[in-house]
Amino acid sequence: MPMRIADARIRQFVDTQTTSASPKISDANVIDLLAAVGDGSRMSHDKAKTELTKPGITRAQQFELAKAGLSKSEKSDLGQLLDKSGFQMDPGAKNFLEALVGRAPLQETFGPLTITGDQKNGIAGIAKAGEVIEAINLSTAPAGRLHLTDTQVIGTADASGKFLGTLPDIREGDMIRLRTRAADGSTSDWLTIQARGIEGSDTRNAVVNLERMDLAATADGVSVTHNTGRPLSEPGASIRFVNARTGEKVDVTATDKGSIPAGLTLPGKAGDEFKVSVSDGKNNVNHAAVAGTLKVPGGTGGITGIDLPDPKMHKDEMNADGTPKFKLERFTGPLFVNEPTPGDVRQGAIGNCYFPAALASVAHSNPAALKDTIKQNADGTYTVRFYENGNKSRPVDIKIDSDLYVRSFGGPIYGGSLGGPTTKEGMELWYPLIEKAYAQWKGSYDAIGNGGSAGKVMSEVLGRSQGYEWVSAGSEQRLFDRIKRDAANGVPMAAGTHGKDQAARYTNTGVYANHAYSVLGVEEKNGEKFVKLRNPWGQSEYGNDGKNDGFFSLPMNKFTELYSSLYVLN
Amino acid sequence: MAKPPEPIDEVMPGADGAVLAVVTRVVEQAPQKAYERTLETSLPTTAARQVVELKVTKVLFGGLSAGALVQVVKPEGDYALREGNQGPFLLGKNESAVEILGRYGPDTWTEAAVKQAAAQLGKR
Repeated sequence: MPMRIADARIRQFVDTQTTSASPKISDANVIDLLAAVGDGSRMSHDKAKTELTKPGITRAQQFELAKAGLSKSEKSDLGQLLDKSGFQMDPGAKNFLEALVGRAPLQETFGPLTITGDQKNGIAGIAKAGEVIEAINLSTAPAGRLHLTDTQVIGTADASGKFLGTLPDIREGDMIRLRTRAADGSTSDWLTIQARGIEGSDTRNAVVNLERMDLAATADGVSVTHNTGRPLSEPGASIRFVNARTGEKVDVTATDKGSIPAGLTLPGKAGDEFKVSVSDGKNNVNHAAVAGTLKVPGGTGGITGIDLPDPKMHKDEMNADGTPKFKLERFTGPLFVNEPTPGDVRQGAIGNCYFPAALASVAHSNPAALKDTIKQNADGTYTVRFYENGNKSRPVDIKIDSDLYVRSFGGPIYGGSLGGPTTKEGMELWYPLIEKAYAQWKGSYDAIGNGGSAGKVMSEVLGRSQGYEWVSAGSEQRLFDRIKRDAANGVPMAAGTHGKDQAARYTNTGVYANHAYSVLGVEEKNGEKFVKLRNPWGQSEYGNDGKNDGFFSLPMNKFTELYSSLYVLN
Repeated sequence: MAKPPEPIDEVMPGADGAVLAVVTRVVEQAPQKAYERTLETSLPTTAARQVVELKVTKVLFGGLSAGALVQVVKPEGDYALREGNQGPFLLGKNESAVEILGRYGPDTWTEAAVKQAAAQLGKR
């Protein structure tokens, strides 16, 4: 039997709930019903609502205010809501209605924590006397490093159980999660409210933290997983994924923990890009503002032309199922911009310092030989020549294309170039492509990314045998003379530092343990002897010359203290 | 491994504070494995975990205050600390401890780089 609601404001409330996706009489919106019955000749509806949401008002006071204006027909309306509406009801809200129609006594609190009124002047409510109230703003937490349990104390319930606290940066419509903590450390269940009464409207949209989502191509599409215990969005927020290739949209609702629904799969494949947007239901409801783009690892990124096999990524950049975490893109920049120099070389996020240190040394000592190492073919591919075991009679030609693994925001994740653009259209390519060819030759980026010898690489690039010297205190003059002589003869050199067991000697020196450097020559200044070095990172150096470009001069006595080995070619 | 420092933009979102500080003492030192001298570099070896006490000389952002003594974890990784080491320390809080962030601790980024990245994220 349908409801026959007499009071216009109660009817309006019912209409609003009936048209919503999940009709509910909550602890928050029951205030509208209390105001609807509390108004009358003695008090306007607005005045009633103001009184009902006064900070610090108790449930009993709210009940008395409503009861004072309750008419017979309104009592009937409330009875119908209880019996016929089918609306979900928070226990506290339901008890208000039951108490007003005389079916149950009013309960002062529900569970250990009840929030009263709006949040215009703070968060007010009732708890057990002496309990501490903890809160976290779930609307802002996803943008920070907070877990759901990283609460802050906003107040303590007084002897009568009342509390009034403040949460910094709380704004209209924010989702606030609260609980109580007793003296023995025990905590109550969580209570989540939506802040009201602070501003005229909710103007802060929910956020979505894209770094907390991982996309992976599967047989069924693209799986989306939440990779941390920290929330990625506001509970209840609508998160939209749009496949940029197909235009297909998928909307999901953030869970009560600010996560995505378990098992979420999107229509798409490896290499696809998804534009992600979010709405809290009040802002950005048309999802016009995009929070960012996520790429599905793998795929070819729209590569055209000859597409040769690429070396697999380092194991640190592989998913458990063997797919790469990063995407390949074709780079089309120049092979060389002017003559190759050490300053062109930048080590990527891979443990192969020995390789860029060696290549930068070759670029410094013999740029012409370096240019002979790599050639562009007529079909747009490249051929890189190495020499097995440094034997000139055993050349190994590796043919590659110019596809490189890139970070999500662009630029290569492994070796790159300095001194110019890092875009796929503009970056100088000789160093990253020789590195790629070396990875292809040795099996993968993992095969070259867990340590190696700079001397061996120089040998394999130039087809000459290698030699080395251990560096030790007392060998300053001998090493100075050797480096000076070999530099004059165009011999590439590199040096390695001690291992990680001696890492403490390096901190604050500007030189790093377990690391390889290009040796570029020697110099004397004011009678003191120095060796000229370059860090393959293209930054971080001994001393402070104001450039931080990786080039630096080191006194010979510091060289013998901090370095372990010198690599040369014979 | 002698990888380059991480891009600060990738680490800063997870930072809870940054300070200029000096290591006043090493509180705990996990056993350090000795490695053979080798011609190879960038090997997957590590410097052992430490707990160190820092004296804060300047706060770049976060809840610490200048002059404070704070114990922090130097995780197993690419560098080690000893008394007197100093520089900008980026700090992150996990469930049980405050940890130094950045592959090379105080040698990972300059003070200016930390301040700039923090300002871009509105961290004060």
